Amino acid sequence: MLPDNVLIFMVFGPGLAALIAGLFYKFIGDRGAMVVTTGTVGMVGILAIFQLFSYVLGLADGHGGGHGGELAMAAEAVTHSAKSHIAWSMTWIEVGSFKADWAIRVDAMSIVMMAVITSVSGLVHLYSWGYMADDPSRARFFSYLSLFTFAMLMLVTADNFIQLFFGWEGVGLASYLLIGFWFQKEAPNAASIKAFVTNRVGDFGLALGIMAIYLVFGSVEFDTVLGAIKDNAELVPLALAEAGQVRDIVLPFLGMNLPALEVIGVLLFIGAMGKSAQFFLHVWLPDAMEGPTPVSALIHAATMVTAGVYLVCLVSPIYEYAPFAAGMIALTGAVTALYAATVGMAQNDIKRVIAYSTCSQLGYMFFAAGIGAYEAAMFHLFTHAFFKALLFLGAGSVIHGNHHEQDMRNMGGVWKYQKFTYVAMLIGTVAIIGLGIPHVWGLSGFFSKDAIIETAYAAGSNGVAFGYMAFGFGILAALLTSFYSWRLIYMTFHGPRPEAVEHHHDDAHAADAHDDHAHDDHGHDHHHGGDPHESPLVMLVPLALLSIGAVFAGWFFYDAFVGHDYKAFWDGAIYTAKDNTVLKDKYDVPGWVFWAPLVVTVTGFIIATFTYLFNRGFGKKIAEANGPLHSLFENKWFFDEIYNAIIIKPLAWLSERLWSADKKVIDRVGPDGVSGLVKWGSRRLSAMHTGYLYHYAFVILGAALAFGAVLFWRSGGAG
Amino acid sequence: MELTINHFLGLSAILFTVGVVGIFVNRKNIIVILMAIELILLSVNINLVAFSVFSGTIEGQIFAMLVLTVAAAEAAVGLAILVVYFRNRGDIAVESVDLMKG
Repeated sequence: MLPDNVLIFMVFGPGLAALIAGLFYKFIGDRGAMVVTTGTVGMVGILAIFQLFSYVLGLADGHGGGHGGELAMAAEAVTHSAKSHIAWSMTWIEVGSFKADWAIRVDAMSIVMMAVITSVSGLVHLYSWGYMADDPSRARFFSYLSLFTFAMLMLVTADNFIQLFFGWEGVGLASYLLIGFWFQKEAPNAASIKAFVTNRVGDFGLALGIMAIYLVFGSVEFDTVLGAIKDNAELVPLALAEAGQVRDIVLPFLGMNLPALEVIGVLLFIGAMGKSAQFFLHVWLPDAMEGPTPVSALIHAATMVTAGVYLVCLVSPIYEYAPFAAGMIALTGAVTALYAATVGMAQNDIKRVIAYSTCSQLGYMFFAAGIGAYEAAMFHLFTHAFFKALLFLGAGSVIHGNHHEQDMRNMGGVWKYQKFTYVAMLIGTVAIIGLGIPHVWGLSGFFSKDAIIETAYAAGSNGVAFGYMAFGFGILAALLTSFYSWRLIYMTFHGPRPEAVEHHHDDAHAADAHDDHAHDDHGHDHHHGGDPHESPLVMLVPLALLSIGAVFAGWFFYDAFVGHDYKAFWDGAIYTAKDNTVLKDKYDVPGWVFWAPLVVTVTGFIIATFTYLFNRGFGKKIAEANGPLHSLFENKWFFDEIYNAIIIKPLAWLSERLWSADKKVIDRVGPDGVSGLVKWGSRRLSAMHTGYLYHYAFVILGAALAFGAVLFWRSGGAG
Repeated sequence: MELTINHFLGLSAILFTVGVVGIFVNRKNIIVILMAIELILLSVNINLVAFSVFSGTIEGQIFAMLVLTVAAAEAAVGLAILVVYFRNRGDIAVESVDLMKG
């Protein structure tokens, strides 16, 4: 771990940069804001990567005894101490027995997350120099990006749930601001509100979960709460009279007596569902693609949406003793993985395909966590960040090169014009479909996804709820992932250039209201023919660096995250019960389980190649035939329509009624009534002022008489 | 018939009432209001002097002198205001003096 001062800088630096860029860009200019934010975040990114590497390499040095030592360690009883380091801390809230600190707490999870957040964020900052070059409010954009980075770092270095909630809402805010960055257009506004509102639903669960934690444990500190669960300590919950072992405490909830850990687990997971776009609360993620592409890469692929996974892994002790909640996670994750993959197959917007792929991969992470393989979930989170950011930034490069065209049907043959981007996207695709030969080598996705699939099978054979189902869905989703990923490549980069592209391009320009005119200039300056062009170097460098991560991250970190060193690596940051051995059992699954992902991946590749490369018209024919299945997938299983019908419409109706009731009843007797009364009284009173002297004189005289009479009477009268 | 204090007080009350009624009933002329005020002050003076004489003390008569002075000053100021007002508005009818109307 780095020195405390460096850690403080790493967390607060981006926040400070965001403030400087956001408040003082009038003085330092766009370029100044860009330099400040990119410089700070880039520096922090390098530090965080260095920290991760030194941590992992330190492990290797620490017990170089080889695997014999590891096995002995693995056999050892589960360690109960979370070896976290508090780099800085101050009291934030202290009310009665409630206490929340503001702290920077670093453990293995934080180290991993900081490396992911800051490195991807740094590259996205750099990339945005090129992508947002024509945008008139770049300073605002960079300020938001840094603000997001700060909030996310706050989230992963929290030492209690309240600070985590602050970071959680902070990233939500940054996400809202960045989705709606082009607020002049309608769609981004609607999308940002949708994202915010959907997240509120999840946050409601999270807030309730945190309250329940306080109710049961009388504390919101991670170490206290999670330590109590690990030790099964005996404690007296607030508001409940009886003491009990933590794992047996029963909480009255909605008129039922439910195990406290189950309640907390489910509530926290609802929060995670909202943030990580899991089934039922996923609807905001595809719409969030209205934001600028670098934002999609950073927030809606690599970092923020994984906050839910982070939360679930962070509170792993809870789920270890809340089988129902864990089962719910596994089920939701598995369904999301498959659902999003099916929808991804039928989308035509290049960013939406990748968005659904993100959703699907998040499903993988969740079901891994749900079956008890938190380490595998974190590993997939880690590798996914690189190849998904790579895919998004690559898509951004394509969009940039194709004059802000996002519909894949209007692309094709782009590889000739954007060779570098093409190679980067190929690497990203091979990484995400998890291509690799078992026991030999593969790209990042291979290591993490296969680890998840193998642990799912192992969990199934250990009798963990939904283990086999998660395995089956995972395999199926892997097939679809391969299919839609290659479909994206073929539709975008291969085949003939569509005829209508020139015409469409003009249309797009006329229609794009947001489009800063600078972008028009851009188009006219270099591309009279409307051909795509390769992106500038600042956009290609991040692609190259992310490609390195996408290729090697899985291979390099496999042993540390989920392999033989995992106990030493996580070091108590992730807790697994003694009987949860899925991570070790994944080596013992039948041989075909290792090969199954490769088989389906290659199958998906072959189908996609057949449908979209050799028989280019075939895919189009399927789309045009518009069979029930295709229409189901293309319309995202009609989720938006269903929500519109069962939630939004009735809600709007109810709101309308309430609004008119408010106007007619509450306003009439309330504010309007009072103000009317005052107005009426004032008018009466002012009518007394006739302006005639004798009226005033009369009043004066009358008053004097009355006064005199009172005095006379009080002094005892005439007698 | 011997003059008693009640006669003086009666005269004073009558004068006072005339003054008050003069203020209220008069709708025509502000000068009349001024004169009515003078009447009220005079009625007070009669009271003061009468009490002074019948109680054998001098303070009441001194007060009467004071009231006279104030009345004179008040008349001067009041008339001056009236003159200026007439110059501005060309009219001193009571009905038209309603600038303070709410």
